[in-house]
Amino acid sequence: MTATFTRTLRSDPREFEQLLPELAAFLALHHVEASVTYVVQLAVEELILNVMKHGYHGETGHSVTMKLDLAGANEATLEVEDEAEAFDPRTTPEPDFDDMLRGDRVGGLGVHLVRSLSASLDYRRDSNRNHVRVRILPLPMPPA
Amino acid sequence: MELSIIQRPDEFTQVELAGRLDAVGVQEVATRFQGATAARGRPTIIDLSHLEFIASLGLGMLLTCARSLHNRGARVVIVNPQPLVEKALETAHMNSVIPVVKSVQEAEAALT
Repeated sequence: MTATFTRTLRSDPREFEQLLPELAAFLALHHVEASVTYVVQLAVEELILNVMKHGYHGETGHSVTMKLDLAGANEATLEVEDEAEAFDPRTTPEPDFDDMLRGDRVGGLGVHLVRSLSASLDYRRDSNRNHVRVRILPLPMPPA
Repeated sequence: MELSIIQRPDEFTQVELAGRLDAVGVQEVATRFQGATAARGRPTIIDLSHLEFIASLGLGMLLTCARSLHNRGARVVIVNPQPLVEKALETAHMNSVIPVVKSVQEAEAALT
């Protein structure tokens, strides 16, 4: 079974909010495995909101495109494409976990989660656009 | 996203978060959550038994609470996260600053 979910959003958080139930329904319809579902939704949130907030600096009038390909219930590939300045999520520094109770925030946590919980994360810059590709497989979970 | 505040006869604060702590969920509960937890400055139990999803903004909300309480000399404990939520907590190294236990009783013991 293969299936594809594609959306192009304006850089408006309200459009992102409308995307979430559609994405959840698509994943449920195709009986996608629980941890793959979790990481897909996590990656969509972290990557798209990162583009809207930091790539486009909160400005509306830009667009971001996501494409999710399912290869069965246990494998998903997410591609996010935007026209913001070059941003390679493979090279962002790891958050500072040593002193988490100090400071205002832990920067880079979203990208860290996506990098850590996905099977692979690739990036390319092409025609002045960022292309991020995340492959998602079931997570090893401890026995219940 | 639901936030329930459990009335207790002792000095502990106890809250339950249920639903999805994504960007939308954080918007819905963050102010009330901080008011019910960090603002009270007491030892705090956060029950995540019915939390289905957490993303970085939700983790940030929990961390802000832990920092505020830490600065006031109080501690916070997380109770019974579902496996995928626990995986996200571990991946974000949250368990290094907020202990995770299996029951409210264990949380009370950890905070006493």
